[in-house]
Amino acid sequence: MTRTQIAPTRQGSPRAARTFWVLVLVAAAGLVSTGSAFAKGYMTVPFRYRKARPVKLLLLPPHAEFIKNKVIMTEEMVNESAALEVEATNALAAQLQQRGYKVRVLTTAEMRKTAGLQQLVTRVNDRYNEEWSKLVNRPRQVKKRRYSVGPDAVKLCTLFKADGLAVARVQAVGVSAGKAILSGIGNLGVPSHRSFARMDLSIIDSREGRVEAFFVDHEATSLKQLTRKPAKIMGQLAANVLDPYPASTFEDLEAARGAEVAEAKSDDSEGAEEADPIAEFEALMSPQQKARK
Amino acid sequence: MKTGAAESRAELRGGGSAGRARFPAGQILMGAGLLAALLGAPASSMVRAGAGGVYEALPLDDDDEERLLRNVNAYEDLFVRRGYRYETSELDAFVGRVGAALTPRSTDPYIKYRFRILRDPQANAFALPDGQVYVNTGMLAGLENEAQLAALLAHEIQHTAGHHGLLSYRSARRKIITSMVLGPLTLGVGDVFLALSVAGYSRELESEADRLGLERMHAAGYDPRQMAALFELFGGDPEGESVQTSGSKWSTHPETLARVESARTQAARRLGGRPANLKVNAQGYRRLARQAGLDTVQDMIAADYPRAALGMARWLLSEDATDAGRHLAVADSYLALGARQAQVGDLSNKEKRANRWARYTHTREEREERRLGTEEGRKALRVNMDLARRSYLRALELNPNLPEARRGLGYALDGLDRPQDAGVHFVAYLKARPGAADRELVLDRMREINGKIKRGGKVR
Repeated sequence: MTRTQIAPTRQGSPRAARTFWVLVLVAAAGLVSTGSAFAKGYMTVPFRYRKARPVKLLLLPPHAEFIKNKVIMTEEMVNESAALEVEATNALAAQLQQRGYKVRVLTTAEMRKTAGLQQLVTRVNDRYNEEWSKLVNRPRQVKKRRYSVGPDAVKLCTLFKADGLAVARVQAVGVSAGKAILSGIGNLGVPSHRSFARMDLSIIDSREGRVEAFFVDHEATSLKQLTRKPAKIMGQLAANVLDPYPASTFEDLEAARGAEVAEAKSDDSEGAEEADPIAEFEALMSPQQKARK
Repeated sequence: MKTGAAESRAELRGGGSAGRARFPAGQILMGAGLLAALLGAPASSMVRAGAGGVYEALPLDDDDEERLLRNVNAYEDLFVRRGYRYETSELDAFVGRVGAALTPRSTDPYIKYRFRILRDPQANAFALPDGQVYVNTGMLAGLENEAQLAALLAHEIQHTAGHHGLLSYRSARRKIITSMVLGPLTLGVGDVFLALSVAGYSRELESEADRLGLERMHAAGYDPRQMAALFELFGGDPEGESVQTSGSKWSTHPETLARVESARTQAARRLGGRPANLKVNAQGYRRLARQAGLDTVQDMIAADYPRAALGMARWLLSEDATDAGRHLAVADSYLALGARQAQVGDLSNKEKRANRWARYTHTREEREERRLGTEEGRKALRVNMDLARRSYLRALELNPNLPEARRGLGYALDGLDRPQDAGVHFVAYLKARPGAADRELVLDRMREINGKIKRGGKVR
């Protein structure tokens, strides 16, 4: 019974499938046009379940790039980028604090107080930029702790007594309304050139300088909004980016259980970490120790 | 020497080859050179210099140009915000003084000359249309004397004084609009000619800046022969990552040899066999540039260009072998080499491309692991660690109160599988610098060392 009765229904399925795919495409187009957030978060397990999630964060002012899609560029993009940087800093700091983290923002004035600090911050940013291209291409490998910003990040955290470093990058592309409309002609009414802003945030641990988490998202916007309402755009973007960021109290119990099992296997090294390494070394090097050997 | 960092700078005598826009300020400089590098073509109606290299005024054409100037002006703040300005040194004031002595009377209200140093190990300098002249620490570290600095600044000043940025912008704007109109008709062939003309014309401007810059430095009392000596400083590829393009047809500067020859001929003509009492000042300049040199070595190491760092450190050491700081720089460079060979040897372009590609696709740790996977790499590590150890010891002989040498010695000895000796030096470092920013890192290494000793590490 079933086979003979089902068969005719299946024969009619191409129309249903077509309707289904049209609906999917319409929904996708709708989502893209409204610029809905598809925030992505990549975290190591210890970060996710709170064991290695920094609570006291040092936020370096984000670097922003503002690109206006014009044939001849005559705009004041440096100043406009600066406005985005300021607003992105404020938005990220406020929203991380809302999630229960302590955030310390490093200002330019502070950085310039000593040449040593200025140099350290610059090196951390440069080193992060070096890793950033790899990070953006293969963000999933954050889980494997592949990316390191090196010893300078550790030094910076030590100086500011922070558990972690928050480093963000912002890119904004502004397309004039006229150009967007023109690009839509001949492209089935969907503009191929659109304005958007993109932000990513990395959290770097204070022990080894490794990237423990990476969050990224973009927001469809307009050139007018980017230049006239940077606070609004950056606020929305920061909210999108931080969407998967767990609150300071959040503990992923499932991940925690898995990690505890793994930790139990390498428990012998745990005790050694607690001792003062200098005292331990001196004890190892003492004559009594040598005699016992 | 160039009007933007997008035009990459050659290296100083094995010291600066690390690379094009790969060094710290490179990315910003790419933007800063927007006017002068991207649109690096002079207008056909160029405002030519009159007698003595003095140019006529060039009023701004429209609002677009005013906006462009404001945008260029904003780079000054951007460099400060990003921490690239090198402000704390005596050298900063010195560069300002030499620059001021070479500066012509400003022909336009929007030109206000100021001379700044950027902390960047790439050997580069550039000028912006509003009178900002920047020289990188990597460039200053490699110059031999004050006259070479004057030659460099005079060249850059000519770019601003000659309105090269604005003229290039106007020319490029016209060409872009023309190509937009004619592009579809010429099936894109027009774009190729556009690119060719941009590359070609820019060399013309560079030659003009060389020629008038030499006149300017001579008029200020400097030995003009140092202009040719300055050009000869550039060259080399210590990291084996600079792919050679065919000839210099596409480069924005005239071919180096031709440039050197031209500067020599011009200098000889100007001197007429009477090079009397002209300023060179090698000793005074090198004393001032010492710290910039040491900082450049550390910046090259931080940017993962240890061979370039070693080249620069050795050159610094050759100037004064009794300076503990210079031995420390050599030692740090050997330490940073890790499992790399100190010399790359002759590499094909394919190998150089592979080296460069690896830098973009693999992390530093992955590349080092790969090197350590070969017998050659392991051998290089032992050799480099031993050379580092010797240099640290020499630094400590010259100055026993140098905790950084103790720390470095600790790392080198640990690399040589001598954990106990390493531990002794780490402890000495931590006791001398209890508040060191890298305390946690050194303590982590101590924990590893304690583990090794417990497992029966070698006793010396």
